[in-house]
Amino acid sequence: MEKQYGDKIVGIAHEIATLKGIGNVRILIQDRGALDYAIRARIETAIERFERGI
Amino acid sequence: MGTNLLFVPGNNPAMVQNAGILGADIVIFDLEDAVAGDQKDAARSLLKNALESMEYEGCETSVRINAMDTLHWEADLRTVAAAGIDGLVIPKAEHSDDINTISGILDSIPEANEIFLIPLVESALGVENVYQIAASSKRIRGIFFGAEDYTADIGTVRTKGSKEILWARGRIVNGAAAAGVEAIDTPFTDVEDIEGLKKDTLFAKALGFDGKASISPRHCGFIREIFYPEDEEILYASRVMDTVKEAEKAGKGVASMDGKMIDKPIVLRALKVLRAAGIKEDFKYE
Amino acid sequence: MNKIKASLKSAIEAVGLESGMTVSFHHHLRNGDFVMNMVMDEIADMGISDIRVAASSFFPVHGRMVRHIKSGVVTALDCNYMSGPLAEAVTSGMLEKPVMFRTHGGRSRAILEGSLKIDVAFIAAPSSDSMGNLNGVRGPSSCGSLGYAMADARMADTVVAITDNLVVYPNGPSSIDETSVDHVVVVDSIGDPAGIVSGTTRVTRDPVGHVIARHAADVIEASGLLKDGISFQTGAGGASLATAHYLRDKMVSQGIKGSFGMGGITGFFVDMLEDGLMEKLIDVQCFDLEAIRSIRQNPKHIEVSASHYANPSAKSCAVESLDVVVLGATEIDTDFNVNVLTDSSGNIMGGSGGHSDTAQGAKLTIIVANLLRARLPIVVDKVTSKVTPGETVDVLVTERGIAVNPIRIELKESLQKKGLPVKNIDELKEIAEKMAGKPRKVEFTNRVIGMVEYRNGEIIDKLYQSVKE
Repeated sequence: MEKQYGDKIVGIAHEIATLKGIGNVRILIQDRGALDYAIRARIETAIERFERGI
Repeated sequence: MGTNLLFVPGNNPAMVQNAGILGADIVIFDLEDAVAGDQKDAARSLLKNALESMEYEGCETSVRINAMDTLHWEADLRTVAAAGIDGLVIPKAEHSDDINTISGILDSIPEANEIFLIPLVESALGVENVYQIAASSKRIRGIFFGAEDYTADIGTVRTKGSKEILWARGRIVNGAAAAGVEAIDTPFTDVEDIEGLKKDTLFAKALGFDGKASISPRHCGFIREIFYPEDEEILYASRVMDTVKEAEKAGKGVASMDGKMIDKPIVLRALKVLRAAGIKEDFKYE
Repeated sequence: MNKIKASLKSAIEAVGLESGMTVSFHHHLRNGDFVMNMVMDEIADMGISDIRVAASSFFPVHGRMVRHIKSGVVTALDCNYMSGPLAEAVTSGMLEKPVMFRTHGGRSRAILEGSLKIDVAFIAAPSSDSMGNLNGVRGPSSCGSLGYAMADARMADTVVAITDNLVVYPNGPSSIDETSVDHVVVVDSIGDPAGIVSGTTRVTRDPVGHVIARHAADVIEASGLLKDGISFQTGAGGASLATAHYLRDKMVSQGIKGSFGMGGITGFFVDMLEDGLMEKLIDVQCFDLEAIRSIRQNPKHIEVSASHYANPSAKSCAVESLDVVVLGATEIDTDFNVNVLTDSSGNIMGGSGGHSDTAQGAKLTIIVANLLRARLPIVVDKVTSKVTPGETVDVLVTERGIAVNPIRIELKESLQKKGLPVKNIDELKEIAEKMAGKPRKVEFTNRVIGMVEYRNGEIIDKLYQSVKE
């Protein structure tokens, strides 16, 4: 999937991190072919949990 | 409303994105029992993003939010209401107050004007209060009976024979009809037993239910087939409504067809048949 | 007199195997095969090199071949299907010579006409006597039909049977008889039963697969082919096998009896035969224990050679009598060309097998596939590797619609009349790309790592190595 959609996935991560005002973090994505909406959702949740200290 | 409602686990992307093609009239994205306690936030976010970007042609979407005695229900409600859901399934509905609280919140969300409610009645108190619940809000489309939790609440065992839920089923149908909303029967939980499903669905239809929920996409087609009226029934119902509307236009107090008077029960039955066939009739019997 | 050799080494010495020769194997032991590895290890130990291995298929269990490629023992491969570590190695460009990818029918054609010359055929035999009468239906490593080994046995210069079940002469029935066999070697085990066949083949539980299967069964019904005497072949799993189940339901409710089921036979088809829904089964390969039991016991379950199954140069072959075939795909392009050899990144993960044979032979060829595989759209502008030409493919059935090849005008009209969700293939591509986003094109080098031979011997495509990122 990385060859075909890798750039897009990374782009989503950057977009959400920027929106949430998060910088200087490492986001590890283990993709198994999720669509954009699911990637967005999972990154949002990960950032929210990070912010809540979970 | 449509005759079959399908539960889809709200935290499962493969099911969420394919829910629209599984053959259900209404998909119920489940944030309650299908989602582990520590994943409620993830599921909520998944649904929000799915609703905002996926197209669900051919079916309506609804969400079973978490029960109102949990920490999650309000966040569930506000999130999916703003994201474009068509309806909400309210679990453990026991009192009209529950519905009024939810309606009140929906009224404050601009995107939520058209959102319908389906209270899920699954306790002794809920069954006792079914009419009151069903009549509590204009948003209510139907009452959904949940037999698994109900039988646990009354302290008996859930069986395929279903004698233990006969009374409750009757009360749900009656209460819904009295309030002018639909009655949705409990899912048949043996996924592999198609003959059992058919028998249970036929019985629910005979009792007066308008549709049935399911936990397996395999059941949708069978449920729809059983509840879907025959061509002759649809034709007859259409003729009844045409006749009644013509009579009303002509200022006649009474309509008759094939030499027989068309009275209220016949009209209501015709409206129910057309509803099951997915034909909308904007008619109120005065 | 008997043909038993004391060891594999002595058999290899007896046949005079030399560097530069071609050896062959069948794949009836599938991912439970021990024989290919056993033989190639022995060849390597004997210092023989530059061998072409012509196996009907390579499975993950044959990953040991990679070390033989690295050491120069193996310098060329010829097969109908490849998966696992060997496929990864070939994809990465480890093999100097391009792999020849054929079809089941095409391989038998090539062997019988002499264009694929085999010096030594090593035949794994679940049951053999001392003179080389072989079958696949008895013994601890039973596999059922030995259809893919028959052309090899007939045409190879020498034939070595390798068995873990030596029986009293004469062995019967014999799928391959002693008139073709030079030597017999007895070993402890030729394969792992768990990897040879599945216990039972189960229908997919994936609800999307069932949506696709229901549509596919409806297509078959709407085509007019669902009537007494229907013959069909489906795959052994996924939506393809599920289609067979829905078709069966229709046959039962309409009182229809089929003439034959073909494949790749699973317990599903055996049930149809035994329930009286099918007259006969034509079997080139058994996929599960039920299929093995049936082919052993039931005269209506007929073992055939790969040539009888699908050789286009034969006077006739069984695929030409087939009404319906339901197949899978890794990609299909807007001209209905199908790829079953690689994924969209050019990674080898399969092969035609009988795909293009049955597609050409059948009256109705249906491809069943999820519109999105993981995230990748199944419909593409141009397939990464063309294995089955579009003119032999009639219908693509996905969960979001059915596309009919424009050359099948009447079929499209029939489906539309029945209210089936017919769409143009371009529409399906757009739907997929809307959901998943348009995938970035994968870049390939000029280095050819595989040749795709169509069943008639024509090279219809080449596989190129993808650019390393």
